[in-house]
Amino acid sequence: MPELVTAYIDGELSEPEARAVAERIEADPAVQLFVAAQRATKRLVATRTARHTAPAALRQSIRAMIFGERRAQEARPAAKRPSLWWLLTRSPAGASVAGAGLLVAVLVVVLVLFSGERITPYIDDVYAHHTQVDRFPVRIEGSYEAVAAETSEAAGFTVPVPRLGDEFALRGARRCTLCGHVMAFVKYQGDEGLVSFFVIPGVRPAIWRLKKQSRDAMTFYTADREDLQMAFWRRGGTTYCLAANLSEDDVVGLACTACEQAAIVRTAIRDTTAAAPVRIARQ
Amino acid sequence: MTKRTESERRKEFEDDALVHLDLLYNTAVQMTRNVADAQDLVQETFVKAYRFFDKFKRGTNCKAWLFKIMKNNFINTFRKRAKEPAKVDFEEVQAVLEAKPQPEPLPDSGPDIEQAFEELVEDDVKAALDQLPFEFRMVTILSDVQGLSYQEIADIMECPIGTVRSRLSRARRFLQGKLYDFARKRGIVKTS
Repeated sequence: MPELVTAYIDGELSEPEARAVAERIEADPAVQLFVAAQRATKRLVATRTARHTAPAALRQSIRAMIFGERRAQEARPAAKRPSLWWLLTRSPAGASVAGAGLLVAVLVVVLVLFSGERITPYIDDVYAHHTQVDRFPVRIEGSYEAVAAETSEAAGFTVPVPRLGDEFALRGARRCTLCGHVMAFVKYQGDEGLVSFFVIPGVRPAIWRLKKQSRDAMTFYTADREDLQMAFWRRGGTTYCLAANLSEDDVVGLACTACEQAAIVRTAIRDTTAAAPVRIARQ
Repeated sequence: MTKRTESERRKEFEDDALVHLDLLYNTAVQMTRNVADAQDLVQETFVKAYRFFDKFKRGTNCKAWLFKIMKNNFINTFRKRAKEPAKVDFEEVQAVLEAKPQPEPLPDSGPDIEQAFEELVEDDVKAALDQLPFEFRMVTILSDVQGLSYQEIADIMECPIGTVRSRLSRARRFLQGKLYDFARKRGIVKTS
């Protein structure tokens, strides 16, 4: 009977069924009480449950993801954007990043091999970290230059410092839970290290599959936005990344290119299209 | 059959699928219990839907199709990683409710219950809903919040209509008990 009454209240009974239930309700005060309580519950849930409207940014982000559209305020002439390939092969910054990447590879291997710390699955940690960031915004001190200086000291030779604007949030050596590949070490409030990172437009923590492309000895993984350019390359079992044409709504993340999956750790990157050759920053 | 151009496909997707964005987002917030995860869930749902849009049978219920993708996505991805509060099985919840003698009598007439419930607030409803196991919470949200029919819910949840009816009835009884309890604790319902 309770299920029939529920369906009766929802108007989901056939006419004969509804008539039979109505007669039963009429004849039985206990059923009348039950009906009133069910109706009150239904109405309460319907009227006292918060309504959420999709934010405009989400709508734009979805359209960008599926249609490859860019938001009007982000639109810039494509010719003025530095090419990632140019950045990597022609610009001092690209060469510097590549050099720094090589050093980081060494550092990562050293740290991973000799650190007594247990290496936890980095993707799990990333999510935990992201949650923490959301709830307790952390201002991370330091800069790429500082990291590079520390890295130089640790590695025993000078790391060329690419002109990458500001500091960015990185930490911990982690093993990808998806494929077991050890990714990187990061710089985080005094802890040493760097991490390969990547950018995906307008995405919050999620796991994404990137498109793989190859050019010469370099492997590229690109997100679904044509103007956004990223390169990943691997040396010594570690993956590095350089990204160009970032915007404020882009998201920095850790990527495991060994299995081509990625997890995002932090949001907020400042505009990179205005500054040459590339500028990566965090909040 | 002529193959649609990309612009036709896009237009169809806009007209059939993207119009349900708010509806999906609202439900996603209820499912994930936080806005950031809801945005991820909805975004991934639409990306998947667009990828498989050619498989969607035109003329059928696109809203239900999208909800089904979202539900499966939530179960396969989000639910595993979400830091959900520990929940007990619904059978256990119900067993506890049924086994426990009702120490406080319900008001002796329907209007009193309705009046008492009117005093409750959004947080009370959310707290009660959050205690429902996923399948029961889903049918309640889809039915009572989104106003979907049993058939649509059955399509989304991939279960028979009878199961929808049964889950909804049990969920409402559970909610009723919880909400009554809140009302009693607040002193909205006077117990004799």
